[in-house]
Order: sequence, then C-alpha cells, then structure tokens
Amino acid sequence: MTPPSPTGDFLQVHSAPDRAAAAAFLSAHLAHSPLGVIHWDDQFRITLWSGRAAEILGWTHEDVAGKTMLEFPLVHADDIARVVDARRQLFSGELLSNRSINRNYTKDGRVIHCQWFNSYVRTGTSFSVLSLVEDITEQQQTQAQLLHNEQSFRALFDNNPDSVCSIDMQGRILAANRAALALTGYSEDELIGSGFQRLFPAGELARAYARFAELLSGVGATYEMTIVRKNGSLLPITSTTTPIILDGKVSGAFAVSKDISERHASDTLLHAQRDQIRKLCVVATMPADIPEKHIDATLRLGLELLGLDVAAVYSNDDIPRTLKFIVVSNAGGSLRLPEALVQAAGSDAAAYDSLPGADGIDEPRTFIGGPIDIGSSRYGVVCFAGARERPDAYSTMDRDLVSLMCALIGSAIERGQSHRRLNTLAFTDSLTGLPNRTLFHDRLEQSLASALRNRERVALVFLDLDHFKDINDSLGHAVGDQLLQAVGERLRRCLRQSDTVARMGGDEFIMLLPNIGDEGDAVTLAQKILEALAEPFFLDGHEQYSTASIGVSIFPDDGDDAQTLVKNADIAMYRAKDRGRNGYTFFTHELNAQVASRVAFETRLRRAVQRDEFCVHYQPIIALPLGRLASVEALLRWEDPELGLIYPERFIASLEHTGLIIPLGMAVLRTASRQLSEWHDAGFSGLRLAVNLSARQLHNPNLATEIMNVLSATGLDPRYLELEITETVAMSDVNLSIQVLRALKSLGVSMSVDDFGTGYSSLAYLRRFPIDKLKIDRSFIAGLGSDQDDATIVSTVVGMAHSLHLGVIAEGVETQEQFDFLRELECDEVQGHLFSAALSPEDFAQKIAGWVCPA
Amino acid sequence: MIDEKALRSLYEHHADAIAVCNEDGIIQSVNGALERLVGYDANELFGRNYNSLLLEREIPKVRAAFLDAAHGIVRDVETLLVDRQGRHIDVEFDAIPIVLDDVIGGIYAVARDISRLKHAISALREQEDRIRSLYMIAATQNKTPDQQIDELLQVGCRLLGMETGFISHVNSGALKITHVASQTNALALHRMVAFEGSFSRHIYESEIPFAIDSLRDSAWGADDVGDLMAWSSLIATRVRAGRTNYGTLEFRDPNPRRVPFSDTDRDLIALMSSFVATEIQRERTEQQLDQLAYYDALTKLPNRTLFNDRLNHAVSAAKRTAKNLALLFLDLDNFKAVNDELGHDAGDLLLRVVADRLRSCVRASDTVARLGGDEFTILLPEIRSPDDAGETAQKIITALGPPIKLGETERQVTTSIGISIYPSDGHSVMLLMKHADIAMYSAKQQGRNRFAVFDTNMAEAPAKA
Repeated sequence: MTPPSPTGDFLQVHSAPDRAAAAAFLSAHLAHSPLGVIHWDDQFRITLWSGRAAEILGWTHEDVAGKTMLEFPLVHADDIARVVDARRQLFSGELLSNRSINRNYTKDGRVIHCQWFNSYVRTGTSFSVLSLVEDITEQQQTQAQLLHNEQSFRALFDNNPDSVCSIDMQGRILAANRAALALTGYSEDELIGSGFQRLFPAGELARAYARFAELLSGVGATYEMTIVRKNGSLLPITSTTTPIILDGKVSGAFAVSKDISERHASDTLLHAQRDQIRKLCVVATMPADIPEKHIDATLRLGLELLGLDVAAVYSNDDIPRTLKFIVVSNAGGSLRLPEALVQAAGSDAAAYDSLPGADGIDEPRTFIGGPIDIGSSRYGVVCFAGARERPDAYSTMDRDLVSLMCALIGSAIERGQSHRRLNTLAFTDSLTGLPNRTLFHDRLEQSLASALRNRERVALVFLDLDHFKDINDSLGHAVGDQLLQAVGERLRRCLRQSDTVARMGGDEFIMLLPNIGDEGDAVTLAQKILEALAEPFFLDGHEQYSTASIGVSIFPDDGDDAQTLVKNADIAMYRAKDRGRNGYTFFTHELNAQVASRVAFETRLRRAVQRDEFCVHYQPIIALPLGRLASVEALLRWEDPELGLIYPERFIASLEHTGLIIPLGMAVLRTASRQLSEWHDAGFSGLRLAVNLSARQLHNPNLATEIMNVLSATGLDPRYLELEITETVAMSDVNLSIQVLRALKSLGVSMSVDDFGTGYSSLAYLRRFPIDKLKIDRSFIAGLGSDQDDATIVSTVVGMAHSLHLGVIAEGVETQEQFDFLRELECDEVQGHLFSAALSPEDFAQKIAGWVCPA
Repeated sequence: MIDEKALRSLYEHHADAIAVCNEDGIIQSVNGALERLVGYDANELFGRNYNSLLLEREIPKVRAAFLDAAHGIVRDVETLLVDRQGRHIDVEFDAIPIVLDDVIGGIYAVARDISRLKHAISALREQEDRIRSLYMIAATQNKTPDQQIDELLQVGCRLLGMETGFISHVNSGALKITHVASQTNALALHRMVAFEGSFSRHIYESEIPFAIDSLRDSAWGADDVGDLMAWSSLIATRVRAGRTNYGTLEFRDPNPRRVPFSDTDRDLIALMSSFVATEIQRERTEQQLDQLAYYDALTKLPNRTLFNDRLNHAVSAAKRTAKNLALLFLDLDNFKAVNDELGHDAGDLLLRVVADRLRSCVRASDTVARLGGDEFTILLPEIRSPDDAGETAQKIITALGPPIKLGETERQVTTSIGISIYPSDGHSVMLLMKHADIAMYSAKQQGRNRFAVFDTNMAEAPAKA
C-alpha cells in the first residue's frame, strides 16, 4: 500500500539506531522546510507546531500545543465555516488530502493569506492530520493587483492575437485592436464609428443582424461567418460575442474573431478531393464499348480537375506523333501543343508550371502530361496544357492524377482495340475474311428496317458453287479452301460499296443489295458474277473452273422478314440448279417472266434504234392574248412495224435505263431543227421549237457542244430553240442543273422547266436557275373547272412566275373553260388538244398553212 | 473609448483559454475557457505553474515566450497542453505582457485551441495519401487484370484498415470468391465469408457503398446473425461498369470499427470498385478473344487453330516419350441435304448435337475439334495400340446412330472416319492430316458410315490427275 518512495522506506524503521537517524532527519526537515508543519491528533488538537509555522503565524509551539484550531484566533472569521467543513471531510475519511487557500490571523493580529495542504494519516487503529502551511500573501496581492486593476485588461484588448471589437447598442464599432485592423484591412479611423454591417457581405447580413439582436438581449455565442475585407475579399472567421453588462444592463458587446481561412481552405481541399474521386468513379465506370466516349470524358475531367484548357492524346505511330483526341476549352481555342513538350511527356511524365510561351498567344504557358503504355509497349502521350501560367506548382496529387488518367485512357484504348478484334473475330469468316452469317443477318435486319421506312426494295442473292464437294474431295481441303477464298474475293469485286457479301458456311455465299431500283439491278449483278466466276482459277498450280447457281429474292415482294427472304433466295437457287446450274433464278415466277419480257422489250428497243423506227411529231403552242401560233414542241414517237405507233410513256424509262436516250435524244433534236429550218424557209419565220432533255442527257458532259454542232449543222438560229427539262430532274441535282442550264443558256437558247408542280422546287433554287419559262403540269390544268385547289395552284404559279419575270405555258388544255380561265390569268402560252394534237410533219404543215397568218 | 470595466468581461468570456500569470509563470487566475479546455477548476489551477499544463518537452519553448513577454515582446508559438484526462490539445500560445503604470506586472497566457485546424489538415493529408496510393496502383500500366485486382485488394485492406478483402462474383444467388487479399491469413477469410448469401446479395443490389461499423450494434446484429459471423465490421460495394453488375468488392475485419467509416472511406471503395470493374472487363474481353480465336462459335469445340496447336504439341510429346497417337478425320455423310432441305437453323442444331455426341465418346484428355462445315477432327494423344483408335471410331459411329430430333422432324446422320497413327503413318503433323484425310476419303468410297485406317495402298486423291 505504501508508495515506494525513498522517504517511505526510510520512515519504516524498526531498529533503535534507525529510529535515531529518522528522528534526526525529521527534525532537520522541520527546521528548514519553507513550509510550516503542524500535526493534529484525532481530537484535532495540535501536537506539533514547527519553527517555520511559528515564523509564518507568530504563534509558537508552546502557545498552541494541545489546542484545537477553534480555541485560539487562527482562521479569519469569514473563512471559518469553509475551513471547518473541509476539516470534517478530512476527519470523516471522505478525502485523504485537501488544499485550501484562506486568510489567517497572526499572533499580532495581522491578516495573512495562507495555502494549506492537509493530509489524513493513519497510524495503526488511530489517525491524525498533518498540515503544511505556506504564506502566499504576496502572491495574493499580485493577483489582486492584476485582477482588480482594470488597466490590466487593456493589455488583453490591445495585444490580443485575435481581432477584438467593441460595439455599442446601435451596432457602431467603438474600439478595435490591432488584430482587428489587420483582419479587416481597414484603418482605425475608417473602422471606428462605422456600423458592423460594413464588415459583412450581403449574403451574411441577415445572420449578422440576428446575432446582434441576441447580443442585445444579453446572450453571447460563438459562430462561423464570412466577412468582407476592405479590398473586397471574403474571409471566413469564427467569432465569439460577449455582451458588456454594466450596472446590470447590457451596454454593448465585444466581438472576438479569428481568421479560419486556413481551416476552410483545407476543408475545401478535402471536399475537392472527394469530388475528384466521385467524378473519377463516374468516368471509370462508363460503358466500355465506346472507348472514344470514355477518352473524351476522361480528358474533360482532367481539364476540369487541373483547371487547364487543352487536353490531347497522341499516338506514337508516326513521327511527328498523330493527334488522336483533343478537347479544348473556350480559353484554349487557339493553343497549339509544341512537339517538344509532347515528346518530353511521351518519354516520361513531365510537368511545367510556367512556360515562357511564344510571341503570339498560341503557345501554352503551363503543361503536364505523361506516356500511355498498353501492355509492355508505349502507345502514346496524354497532354494537358493551359493558356495561363499556374498560380501554384502542380501538386504530387496532380501528377498522380495525370498518371492515373494516362492509365485510364490506355485502358480505354486497349479495350477499344480488343473490341475491334472481338468484332473481327465474331463477325468475319476466318477463311475468306468476308462477313459471317451473324454479321450478315444483322446487316440484313438493318437494311430491311430502313427499306420498310423508306419504301425501298432490297435484293438477296444466294450463291452456291456447283460441284464444290468434288473439288474438295478430289483435290483436298486445302485446295477447296483456296477456291473459296478466291471466289469470295471475286464476289467482293462485283459489288458496290454499300452491298454486302457474306459466307454462310461451306460453299454458300449470300449477297445483300440494299435499295435496288428494280429487279434489273439484281439481274445485272447475277450476270456480272457468273461472268466473273467463268474466268479460270489458278489453285495449287492448276487451272480450275467453277460455276455457281444463284437464287434471288426481293423485299418486300418475296417476304417481309429476313428468314423468309433467305429461305426463298435459297429455294430460288435450287431452281437454278434444277435448270442446269450456272444460272440465276428469281423466287417469284412472274418476276422471271417480267424480267424476261423487259429484257425482250429492251432488245426490241435497241433494234428499233438501229432500224430507225423512231419519228418526231409536232404539237403547236399558242401565244396569248392574240392566239398566234408561237412555237411547236417536238415529241418522240416509235412506229413499230407490228404494234403501230407507240407513245413515249411506254418506252422512255427503258430508253433511259439502257442509255439509248442519249443518241436518240440528239437524233430528235437534229430532225426537229432541220424541220424547223425548212418551215422558216417556207415562210413561218417566227416559229420556235421546244425539245425535251432527259436526265441522262443532262449528265452528258458534252451536251452543250453536241447541241451547238446540231444547230450549226441544221442552220437553226439558237434563239428559236427552247430546251425543256422536267422539274424533278432539275431538282434532283441542283448544282449540276444550274451548271448545265448556264452552259446551254450561253449558247443563246432559252430554257424552260417542264411538268412544273410535280417536284419540290424551292423558290430559292428557282431564282438561281437561268430559265425563261415554267410549263405547268397537265394534271393541274385537267383539274381546272372542277377542282378549286388546282385553280388556286395554277393562279399561284402564274403569279409567281410573272413576279420572277418568267413566262408560263399551260399544257394539256382540252376545254374552252380551261382556256378561258388561263386567258383570264394572263397565262402566256397554251398547248393542248383544244388547239391541236401532235402531228406528223406533213399533217402539221398542212394544218398551219390554213390556220396561221404568216407574220 | 471602452469603459475599462467592460474589459473584464473580455477576459472572462474570451473564447480562448487565458491564464493570468506572474512573470515566473505562476497562475494567478484563469478564465472559463481555460477551465473548460483543460478540465481543472480555477481553484485547482491557482498557484500552479503554467508549465504543469504543458507536455514536458514543450516547456522550454513556452518558457521562452514567457521570458520575451516579460521584456514586452508578444510571442506566438504552437504547443501542446495536457488536459485532466492526459489528452494532448493542440494550441497556439501567446504570452501577452500586462503593463501596469508602465511596469510589466504580469502575463496573459492565451491558448487558442487549434485542434480542429490540425485535425482538418491531418485529415486532408491522410485522405490525400490514401487517394494517391490508390491512384498509383491504378496507374500501373503493365499488369495483368488478376495482378491488378490483387494489388487493389491489398492496398484496400491497408487504406481501410481491414483484415480481409475479396471480390465475389454473384451469379443466380450463388456467391463465388474470385480474388482474396488478407492482412493475416486466408483461414480467417473462410470463417468471415460463411453465412454469406444475404449480405452479399444486399451489397450487390445496393447502389451505394454499404458499411457496418459494428455488426452487433447494427440492425443486422439484432437477429443473432451477429453471433454467427466471424467479422464485426464491413465496408463493401457492388462492382459495376456500364450496365453490367459483376459482383461485390468487400472488406471485413473481426473487430468493430474504432473510428466509424467515413465518407472518404465510402468514396475510396467506390473508386476501387470502378477500377476493379475495369480490370474485370479487361479480363472478360481477353477471355472472349481467346474463345473466339480458338473455339468454334457454333459448337464451342476447339477450332482449327487450337487443334493444330494441340496436335503439334502432342506430336512433339509423342516423339519424346516414343508413344503412339491417333488422328481421326470425320466428315458427315449426308449433312448437306439437311442444310438444303431443312434450312441452316436445323443444320446448326444438328452440328451441335453431333458435337455433343462426339465429346461423349472421348476422354477428357482427348480433343474433338470442328474444322469447319461438317468436318471434325479428333486427337487421341495417348493410345496403347492403333486398335484403340478403331475402337473410338466405332464408338462414334454407334453414338451417331440414333436419329436427331430437329424441330418437328428427325434426321439420322452418319459419318465417314479416316484414321492416321503416329508414328507409323507419318512423323509430321502435315502428313498425319493428309493421310487421315485420304483414309476418310477411302471410307467414303467404301460406302460411307464406316471408318478406315490409312494404308499406303490407298489411292491418293484420285481426281487430281
């Protein structure tokens, strides 16, 4: 129980010599201790009163031995109750020791301040109390002097490390210490007398007033606020307010404030770091299938987190490196990344807080970047740059972030590469490199969906090599594989870019032709393929021949889903096999018939051109208001020896399709020009000629030259020639149309737009076309008198044409009513059966002879 | 001017802890803030030296400030007080001289508690260190996904102060641990993941990180589960990238958390999880690439590339050990008709069934591969005698016997098999393949649905002439 102190051991004495030594020790201690020592027995009577105690208190041992402390005037009357209470606690054993400061009387009646240390001492079954006493009167006087002299608090105000302001009841600042001036940035003159309001930004004022109201009611508090310094900067502070209470009334307040911007800055940074992690999480967990998006998001985040302007990824493929991605902020618009910086970052991470920049503004003033590794090879570089120098150096955190971004971007690029490889493996046939069945079905579905929306037709061409198994069995698989590869390559060359050829497995290939014009396109392809395969193959040093059977199905005619279309193309292919192979068949029998008849028709058409079975008829055009014969339109007719006269509606499309229109069109122009020259010579000198140009002709780059040649050969003055193109043709390629029309116009001929109203002209284009006339489509004229809409359209077109200074012709005029209406509108010219049908040159000459007054 | 009386309240109500001392540092008086800060009352402090409130080693520094103050100089030092409970308190200390009638009569010892600032700064430093160590792992660019995940787990254990970390793959309710890291031993892990289902499922379905500071004190502890678990604290999140959930990332510890999990802890585990997800994606992609590069997509059998590789290996091994191996070349006899008559879907189904039956006829150490179309090869790397190959071939012919159901119809498919044996039919892979092909052709010639072992009299490619 006894603490192992040297004194304790020393006092635990048993032998007589020891006892003597202990007594000597104690008496020396009692004589020299700075504290007085007093011992009280269990009745609280004094048994020991040391010399030092006598010096302090004046009383000697002899004066007080055997007395209790109440039996002589020892304790100051005002402190006696407290001392008695402390003694009771000690004697009852509640406390083993206590310390008290109280006033005592000396023997000569002075009052002194003493500090008492009292200890409970147990000896066997009895106990006693040992007290040590110290005179602290002098100290107490210092304290009293310090605490009761209000001057001393002045120092606390003046030298306080915190800002201290005193405020009166009106909120005016009465006094401010040096720290307050430093905190706010104001001088004493500026601050004293002004309201506390000037120290708070608008957003904090409401809170500041609330605090002030609390203060006036006598409640102080500590809170965090933001103040605005003289220079306008904001500063977070913590402020403790204390009401000043004088004579029981609140007379003002102190506000003690500390700058806590350092803590705020670290809190802000703490939050910024967490924000950084969260944003990285978002970027890092983006779907991996589109690496470009991933990289873009990473670069953008980098710019945001680093506060920079340009982020870029370069690959090391070439020197100089290739720019793969770039993200630029508004401020970084014109920044260029010098090759030297990119190179530095490409070999090892590099960071430059501030760069000298170039004369212009297009060199970055700060730069940080690092290399991208993929696997064990170096892929390229990630760079970040800013248009302004950096206020602080890049932190280690910034550098680590950049390394991380290099890794994230590297990983995205790697995954992109893997995905491309995966796609290649998953969607191509490894033998031929063609799309495989999976990819083909995907493309087919896509094409069908698009065809359905746009009302287009799609052809599926199924191909199976004839007798392939024999080659495989006889020459071995290796040779068979070579043949398949060669066939795949030839098929690929037969197709357009937008078509797909896939290997379905074995010796089967399938082709997808989206947006075909008509079955003819599929026929053309099938023939092309058969021709291509007819060429010999050189396999393993041997010349081999291979043929194929082809089946064709057409969407939507032969099925509206992929499965049906493939099945039907397959079935069609078998029919081709049945018919003796090396040929093609359509799934639809009627189509086979139609295609056959069309091919036959085209053959006849070719023959008709060769045999010169075409002739030109002429329809008069009447000028209003006088009703004079103004011009004639040359119209093509086919006189088949068996079928008789055939009108253009039946054969124009085939002429266009076969390209026969080009020579034939020029022949028509030549015939009609020669005819008109004859009529001019015959006295109809003012008569003009209108001739149609087709789309195919318009694409002929020599058109203008050829027309000029015809005119000079036939002696027709260009001003009598009027060329017509349909609105649909004109609008299908506006730029080409304008170019061609200008070229023709420069010959001196006039131009008109035919079938006007059937296409979708924009007024803007119409104005740019160098044309002279619009010919309103016959369908609108037919409606005149019965359809109010048509009447409106026609009058609108006439009005519009006139306002553009264009002439207007109405074709297909058949009734007097229509004619009256058009005359009323001041339509410039009319044409139609009401006046005359198209006539052979002989009939025409006869008709005008009796009809028109020569000019 | 301030009423001098008013200044007393500045002292008494000052937010900073102030002691009035004499020039020796003996405390004469203290304000309420000091009593509250150190936990002693004014009486206890009276007469003590201010040094007794300081950490031992801080005394000289503060004494110097006192001395300066005694000469009228205000000094500002950072130091540490010790409160009644022995806790250290970071303070900024000022000794301000008290000038009475132009004589320094005492010193204000002003201590401002800066522990919040210190805490904020150390929290910042700690958080930065943690984030950076995570970045550094993720920024390593040349590790395999497995290595990268293991490192993330190890760093995770350290950063979060947890004993064990693991990645689980959750699939149809079953939990499979794919990666583990442990500060101590793996044995602890087994106990820690026992009775798992509900927790991992919960974590897997939760969009945000999930943390338990003390299992017993949590809602989970109420239903006796806590007693069964070998862990007390946990922090975990699901592993998700893009639109795919992969599983969970979890850290567990046998002890309750001394400091509760912070928001930063949650953010860190979320970031770790996204890095893990990226690595898992990488791993999956690599697996898919392997699958596509080396396996036939339709039947999942090894493809020509993988077969050639295995055959090469097997031939070298057979050379070394002087053993026989057999190569079987199969071609279905009437497959084309199925494709032509029933369509490709039916043909595909049939090929899959055939592949399954072939697989069932061989041992695990043998390889069945699809070369393309209706051609299969089988490698028997260890045969005792050439007859073994014949047995296997016959087994296959028998296995293909039963008709195969294709939608509403049934088809029977037969095969012709050619066999070549190493070393008797060739020492090279090329020769073995060629001879097996020739033998297969011979089987076809003999009437199909049979096997033939190569012999030198067989006609070599009859149509080639």
